[in-house]
Amino acid sequence: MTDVTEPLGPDEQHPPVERGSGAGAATATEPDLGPPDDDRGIEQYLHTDRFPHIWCPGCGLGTVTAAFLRAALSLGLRKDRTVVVGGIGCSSRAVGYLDFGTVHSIHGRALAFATGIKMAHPEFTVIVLTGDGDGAAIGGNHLIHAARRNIDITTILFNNMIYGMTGGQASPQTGPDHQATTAPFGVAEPAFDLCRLVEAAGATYVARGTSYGVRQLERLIRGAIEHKGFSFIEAVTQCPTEFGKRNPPKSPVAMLEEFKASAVSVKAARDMAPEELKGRLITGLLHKDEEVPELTAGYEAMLARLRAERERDGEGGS
Amino acid sequence: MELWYTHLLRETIDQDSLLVQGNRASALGALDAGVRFFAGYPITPSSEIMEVMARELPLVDGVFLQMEDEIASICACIGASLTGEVAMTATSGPGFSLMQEALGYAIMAEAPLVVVNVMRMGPSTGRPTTPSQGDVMQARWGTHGDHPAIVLAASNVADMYRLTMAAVRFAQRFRMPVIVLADEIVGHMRESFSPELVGRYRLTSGDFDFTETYVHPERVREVHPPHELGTLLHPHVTGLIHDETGFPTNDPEKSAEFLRELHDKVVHHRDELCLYDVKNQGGGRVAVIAYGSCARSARAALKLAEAEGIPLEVLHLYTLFPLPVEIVQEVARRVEFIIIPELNLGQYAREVRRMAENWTTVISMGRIDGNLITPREIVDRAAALVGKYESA
Amino acid sequence: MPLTPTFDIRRCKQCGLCAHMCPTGALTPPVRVSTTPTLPELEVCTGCRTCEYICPDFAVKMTVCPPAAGDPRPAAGGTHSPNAEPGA
Repeated sequence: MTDVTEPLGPDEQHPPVERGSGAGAATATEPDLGPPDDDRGIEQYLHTDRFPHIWCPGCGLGTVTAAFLRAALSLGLRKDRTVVVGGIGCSSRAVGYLDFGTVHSIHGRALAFATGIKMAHPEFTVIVLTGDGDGAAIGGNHLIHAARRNIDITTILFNNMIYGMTGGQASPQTGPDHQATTAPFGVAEPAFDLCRLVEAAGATYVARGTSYGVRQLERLIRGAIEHKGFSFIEAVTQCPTEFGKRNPPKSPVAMLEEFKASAVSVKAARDMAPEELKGRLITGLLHKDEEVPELTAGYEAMLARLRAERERDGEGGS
Repeated sequence: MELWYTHLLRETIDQDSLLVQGNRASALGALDAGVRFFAGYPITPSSEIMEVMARELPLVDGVFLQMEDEIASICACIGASLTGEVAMTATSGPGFSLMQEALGYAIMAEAPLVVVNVMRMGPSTGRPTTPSQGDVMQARWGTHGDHPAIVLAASNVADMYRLTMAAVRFAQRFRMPVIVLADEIVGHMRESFSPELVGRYRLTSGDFDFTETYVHPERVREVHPPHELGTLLHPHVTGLIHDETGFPTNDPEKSAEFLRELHDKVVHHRDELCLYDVKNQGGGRVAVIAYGSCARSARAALKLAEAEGIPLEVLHLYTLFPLPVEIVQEVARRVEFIIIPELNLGQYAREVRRMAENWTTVISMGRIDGNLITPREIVDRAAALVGKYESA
Repeated sequence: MPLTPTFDIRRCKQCGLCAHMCPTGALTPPVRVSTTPTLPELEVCTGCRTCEYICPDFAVKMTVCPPAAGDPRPAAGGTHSPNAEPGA
């Protein structure tokens, strides 16, 4: 390794990125990477030398990640203008495999990191990949506040209803009568309805998909990224190893079939009574609102107003 | 920025603010150092720093965010700093405790940021409007694991301005969180303030002039390659132990090497990082090593001691960590006693003892009732020690 | 030529989801470790890409080059993005 006492060479000094440098160069002097190459597919977005990935055989996280990457490709997301932030957990591990600017942050805090990144550079596309524990337990407060702020971040919450990475402890989404290592006699607590929670907190694009309905998921993710505001996608996905082991059906195939059976479209759900909807997964775009002001846009508008006032008052630039 | 002290000029021109509050001075120092991102959460006695930033940052096209808690504040700062800005937050004891996990992340990820901790009496809710120096050890070791720390201590309003600027420089140079500790009283006091007064730091450890280039310094080589989000590098940043590629590793040799280099990055630059001032060098058999508000008492004690014929010298530390081993041992070799007045139960005295006990007797003068240590008390203690020696 | 899947032996973890989800039953799931699914009868595959989309291991790539006739174990190949394909 290099001697830390050596000074940096001239090619190693990277000037900070200008805020609002927008669709142009990554810095004033360096050329940008350009859009992705359609012919190379989602493979170009992967750190291929990190494969095979650590996820278990039959785990749905890879499926959901692939759906995200297909959406990213269809939108032409650029590696140097996109930042993907994860927390801690199997879901958050996705970031290490993605060839964007990626941040593997601390447990539950991905949205706080992402908020800082997005406010510092509103021109970046900022995506958060989190899990049901990382996002809704320890991260719950940051989730509702990011939603409240309506900051233009797309959050994909991989809901596998368990803490997988740490060996199968109960998460807020494990749900009554299911078992976990910390609920050997069954979970006593209800789960969140994550989509209703985040919508009530102020999110302006709320959707749910499953690792079974991958084409729908890709469309929902694409819509979420396109939407200017806080977008939230709950991707229900199978964890055969930790959830399935203790809560039959346990094979990945059987778990997917269960998602298929319990899924019901938003449209069909409108005509169903609450009792009929118990235990069902309402999938699709659940909420969208384009009228709510988005945080970075509002902040930029405020800065522009202050600049105009200063110019009017003859103070010149700062 | 046109003039590095633009904010100071505004202060002196405004007749109502010829006296500037310490907290305000810290915010102004950060702004003049080029900080353009602040995310924070209100807490007594640091909220004024946040309020000044809320007012001033948008006027320089900066980003100000009030977050939902201190954890979110520090995490947002780290996020912004990973894109190349030096970000800043300010808090007090309870908030500082909440920030510890994230500070460890910032060290691992080599993220440049400044955290001002205006210390109040603790533990827990304590006495929010009372000064203390109780967070010294927490500033060094608050986050888990083996890690270096850069911790500065402000003793007056001018220090709040200058040390915050120095902190920004160190954060940029060393790509680390830099902690500025201020006793509550230093944060809340008002003193006169002008570019002439604060513009130059003439210290025994070296002089600084706060010119523009000073605060946009060259970086020390980081442990792993320069990484800024939004550049062509589009790096992976992680809190897992990682190798030179930035990706996680389990390899024992690489892990040890990485942690060792994080330490070396700081410790090998002690000559640059350790700021101190020696007063009445060689003047006595007793030295007082002090920081923060106690350093002011110590400096005032010199005058009293001189008048009373008590041999005293003062080592005023502006940098607490990395430990200023060389100067402490140099002082220790020429005196018989070292007194450490502190508003805690001897947190830094322990460190001085470790550094100096081979050569001298180290006496901790700790005070935890919320009142300041007076110059008189320091002189009396020194007198008693000298007296003891003479009668032995 | 329609698309057909190829499977990356280094990535496939033999979960069998692709074979289960295949709407025409064209895929035979892998039966033991270090194998991939197989496509015994090329004509049964409609190129719908469901196997590619459901695979959690990024192990499936669609290719327009069909494997050699009679070869039950296609090797990994290139891929085409849906954007490049007319009517996708």
